[in-house]
Amino acid sequence: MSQEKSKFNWSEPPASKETVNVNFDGESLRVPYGITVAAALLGHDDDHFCKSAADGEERAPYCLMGVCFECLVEIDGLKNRQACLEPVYEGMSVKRQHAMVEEKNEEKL
Amino acid sequence: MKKNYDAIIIGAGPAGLACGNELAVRGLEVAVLDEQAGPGGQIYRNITGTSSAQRKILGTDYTDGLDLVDSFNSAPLDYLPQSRVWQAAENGDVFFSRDGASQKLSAPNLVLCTGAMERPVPFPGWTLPGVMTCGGMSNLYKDSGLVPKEPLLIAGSGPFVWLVAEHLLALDAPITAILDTTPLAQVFPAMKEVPGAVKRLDFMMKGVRLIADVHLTARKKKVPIYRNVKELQAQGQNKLERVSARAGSKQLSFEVSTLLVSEGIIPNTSLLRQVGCAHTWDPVQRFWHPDVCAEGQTNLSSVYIAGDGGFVHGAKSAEYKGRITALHIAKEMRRLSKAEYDELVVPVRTQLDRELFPRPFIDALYAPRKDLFSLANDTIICRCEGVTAGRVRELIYDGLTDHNEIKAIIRCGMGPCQGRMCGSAVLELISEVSGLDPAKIRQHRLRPPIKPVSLQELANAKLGEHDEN
Repeated sequence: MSQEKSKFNWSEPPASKETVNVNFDGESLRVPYGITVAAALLGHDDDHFCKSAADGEERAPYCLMGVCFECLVEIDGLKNRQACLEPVYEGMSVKRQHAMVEEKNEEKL
Repeated sequence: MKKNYDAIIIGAGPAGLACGNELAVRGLEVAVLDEQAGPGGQIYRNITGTSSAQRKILGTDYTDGLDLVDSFNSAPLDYLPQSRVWQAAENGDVFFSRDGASQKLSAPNLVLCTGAMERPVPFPGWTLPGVMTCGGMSNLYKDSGLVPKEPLLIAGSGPFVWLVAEHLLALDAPITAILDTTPLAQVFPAMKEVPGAVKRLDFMMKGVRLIADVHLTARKKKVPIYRNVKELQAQGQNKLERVSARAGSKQLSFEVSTLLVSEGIIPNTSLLRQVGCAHTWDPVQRFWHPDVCAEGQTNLSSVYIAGDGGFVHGAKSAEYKGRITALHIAKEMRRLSKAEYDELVVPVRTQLDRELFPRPFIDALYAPRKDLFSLANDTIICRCEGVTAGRVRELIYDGLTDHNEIKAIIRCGMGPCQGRMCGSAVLELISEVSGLDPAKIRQHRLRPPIKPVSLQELANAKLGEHDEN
């Protein structure tokens, strides 16, 4: 598990020793099975999750309980997934997204 | 899969779990829908997946949920985790997305156990990556055992601040300081509630011990605790680098990459408002809460509310409320006689009453302080659409006193969170500028879908017998 860039530590071996591979923006991460996508990303890199639709500013999870919608990512091609609610699974592909901007553009097209 | 049930419960926190267990035991057909991947809600999040080391840190307030979740896991009911409910109706229809498709279930009884959320309080820089709620940090630890390894600050008011501080101190997280934003002026009025609270001396002592322990450990670890803290500001380029604040005449500045904030807990009412439950403004706690009777009934005959979504009273109370509502429904569905119901409900009600004794004291001590929403004009209040307090004030000066009208003009509350994060602040701004009593201000309306649903999920709808093919 690459954690050099993260400001978080896995405090102890997680309850599940099993790990899964998740692809995050082209980079392969090995993370504990059963954790949420948000935890997997924060444990890997404290960088932003998405960009604000309004001003393009970088955003990251604020509430981590499904309320704030600041952790929206694209999972296996589906946009606007709340990373704090989705558990990781083997082979999952996660992409950062520009909040809801891309959907708006699609609507315009 | 079945489409019709005797009862549908939304939310698998303590209230939903207890309600589901009790209804299933009485022979009713029950479906429990929940957003998360496992049962437990926020308080007992990931309770079956945490290690013994995590459980030791989280303590009995957490492990108390094990029995409840164990009973739930063996209860004869349909549990549907990872269900995002985007609409519920007075007639008992529930629409939700699960496994990439939309579905509909129906029941003559809906029990909404939506729980609580942290009160969203805007301050300068609160949108920077690195600013999180205390509840968020707690969830992260429960989910995965993640602990900050870089300097962090904890700032806020309420028991939750001390609980998270206790956990992070025990985990040796590099806490730079703890900033208590409770105004000293609030301690004295709270004292008149002490006589009621001491009826639960054990509970009070637990709180006192928690705060004393945190102070003791913090002193040992040389973590300063500042009191009466104001003017919290988060600063940085693209992410949190610095936090400034004021404690009395002392100006504080800290280099940190994480700031954990908490300014109290409020009911999570999005779904309740969408369904059409009547709400009342609480002038002390300064939140809207649904009108809920003793057995969980609302103004809508088929809709019940149990747990903190009705009023924030804590996990144990939520569990008791869930059971009481279940017993009531079982009686209404003729699975219990009036006599049986009375016999069963009395002990639960006694337990609930005992749980509620200390609440007036806690509520008075940690009531939102007067200047909590004294927002600077350039502070962003709507995180989704980047709308500042100043923009909202301008519209109120122009005569608008309805969040729905403000939303239509400047999109404040129109983003994916649908006003969950800005609702409290907009209401306070309207009250501040117009002088209106919040109770008289129209609530922010929620229209379905209250969670984003993709076109694909709608296209894959399995909405009923006729729609399936």
